[in-house]
Amino acid sequence: MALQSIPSATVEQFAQRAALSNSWSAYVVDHDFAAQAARLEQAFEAAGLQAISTILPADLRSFARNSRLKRESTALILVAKSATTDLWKKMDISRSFLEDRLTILLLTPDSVEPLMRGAPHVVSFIGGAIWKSGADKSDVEAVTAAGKTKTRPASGRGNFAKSASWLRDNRTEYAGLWVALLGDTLIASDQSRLTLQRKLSGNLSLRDVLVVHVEGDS
Amino acid sequence: MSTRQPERLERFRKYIARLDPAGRLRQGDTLYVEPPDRSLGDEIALRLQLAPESTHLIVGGIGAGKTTQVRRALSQVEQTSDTKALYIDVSKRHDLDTDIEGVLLVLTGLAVGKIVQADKSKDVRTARKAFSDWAHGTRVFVSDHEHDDDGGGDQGDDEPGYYVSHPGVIHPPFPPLGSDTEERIQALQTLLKALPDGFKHVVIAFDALDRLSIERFRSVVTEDIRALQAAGVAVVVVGPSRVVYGTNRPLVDIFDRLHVQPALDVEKNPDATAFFDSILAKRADETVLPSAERLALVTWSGGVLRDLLSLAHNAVEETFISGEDTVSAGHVEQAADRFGRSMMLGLRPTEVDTLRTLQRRHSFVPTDDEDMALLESRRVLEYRSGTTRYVVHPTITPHLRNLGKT
Repeated sequence: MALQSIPSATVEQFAQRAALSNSWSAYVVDHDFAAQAARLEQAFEAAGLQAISTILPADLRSFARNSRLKRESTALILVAKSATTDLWKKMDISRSFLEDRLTILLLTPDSVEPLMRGAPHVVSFIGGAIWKSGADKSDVEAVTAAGKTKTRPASGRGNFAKSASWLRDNRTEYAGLWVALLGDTLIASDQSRLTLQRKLSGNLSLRDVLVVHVEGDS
Repeated sequence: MSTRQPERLERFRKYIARLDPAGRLRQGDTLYVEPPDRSLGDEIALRLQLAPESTHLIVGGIGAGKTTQVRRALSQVEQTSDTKALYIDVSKRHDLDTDIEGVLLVLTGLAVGKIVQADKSKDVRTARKAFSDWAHGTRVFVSDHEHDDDGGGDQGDDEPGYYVSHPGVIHPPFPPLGSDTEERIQALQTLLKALPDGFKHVVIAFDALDRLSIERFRSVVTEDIRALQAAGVAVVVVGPSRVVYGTNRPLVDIFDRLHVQPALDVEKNPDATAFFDSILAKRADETVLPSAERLALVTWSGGVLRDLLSLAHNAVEETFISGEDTVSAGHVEQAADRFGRSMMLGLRPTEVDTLRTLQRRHSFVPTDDEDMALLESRRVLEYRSGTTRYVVHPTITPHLRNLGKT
């Protein structure tokens, strides 16, 4: 079955799901790999989890010994670009060195089949928790329709009409800021998106909140 | 929404944690559910009580619950007999990607050495030190003079001539144990003699060896398991399921007993269905996971414990994301659909053909590596209730049908 058949999620949507549990999941990215890895790290931080990302190491034992993994709350993002079946095999048998922690596999599309073939044990932990990157089309259209906004997480589903209305009415006043909207209600705003997401962390389901950057008229 | 966001998040996190497919249970944990029939763990425990130096190999599909049964067996044995039970997840003590021959024997020596550490007799201290050296290495000074007499070859007798080898006709199936191994067996036996009062035997379980290739499993079994047998230690090993098929079968014969932990036939065995249902009921109450949805999840799981937990985990996650408080039939469908799609990834056309043939004609005979991989990855499930029966994992059945339509 083609990779296209697996469900898509934005980085933030994926991070929200992954952060719910202390298990394994996989996220397939076919463009802007480095940027999406950075966004994923930020999304975990916004959810209150310290995350470190690293290229999938060939020697997990040395990696675990020398890295900052000793902190229990660390979410680990293993970046696998064109990873071979042999590399996944090594990971499958040495995965215990990662201990029971939240582990995300950030994959290029060509790493997926080798993962499925080389690491059946890891795949069994992932279960159905494999997603590919992609914004919800309706979310993107709605935000674009609002005119002067930049899409961030495709969240706030169901409240976009109200949020868009709020953005039209308040664009000048909040120009240059990141705002968090629940429908037409402003939850919080800040110049820094990270700070804003920290404010939101733990208090609201990010799914219900639209976080956008309000651009000026220029 | 009926509850505030932070409370709701906490509530769902609790359920999600209980449904973690990577979570492992020990007997006595409050989430453990007794199986309907005597479990594999119970059976192994009984056999170990009868034969306290016997060796057991457990195989089964990934996520079938092998570790749970090993732990159960050890717990039963220690509670009811004069046997000290030890559990070692080898993957946490040793990098399974490196040489493994000799590792099990040394790990056993270290573990037994800990039990007898109160014994300060010279023999015991020497044996413990030896195992520590074998495990972690040691540095020995070698004088240059030791090599002075080494002429670099077999000098033989003084008279001129040479040796001609005449190989024997008998070739034992397994090579004799190495001299290093013999030395370790003796050291282990020294430690076993010093077991504290009340213990006459040791059973040690090695988990995670099912991750090894057959070749590497062979090397560890032919050396270490035979050595432990020789030392009089009972052994339980979780091994790769491929070992029971084809030419690998002689490896099984090294063990006294082979145990297979199959998927439970939740399609045809009502007791199995009830067992899986009660596992979910124990982990997620009716307010989040109603009985109808539990039963649907049991059916989708195909009787594989880890898949049951993964599916329930995904269904609860879908419920949380959708903003609802209770899992519905739709959430279960979403979870099963996601799970099935991920299981379809990476299948080769020939594997898809095999799955279709099984689906249509109920025909599957595992013969080659591709078939083994289908079994190992649970795309094909094996039931052993009376006769052996193979089925396609329920979550991929709809996707196979859809492929057929295109």
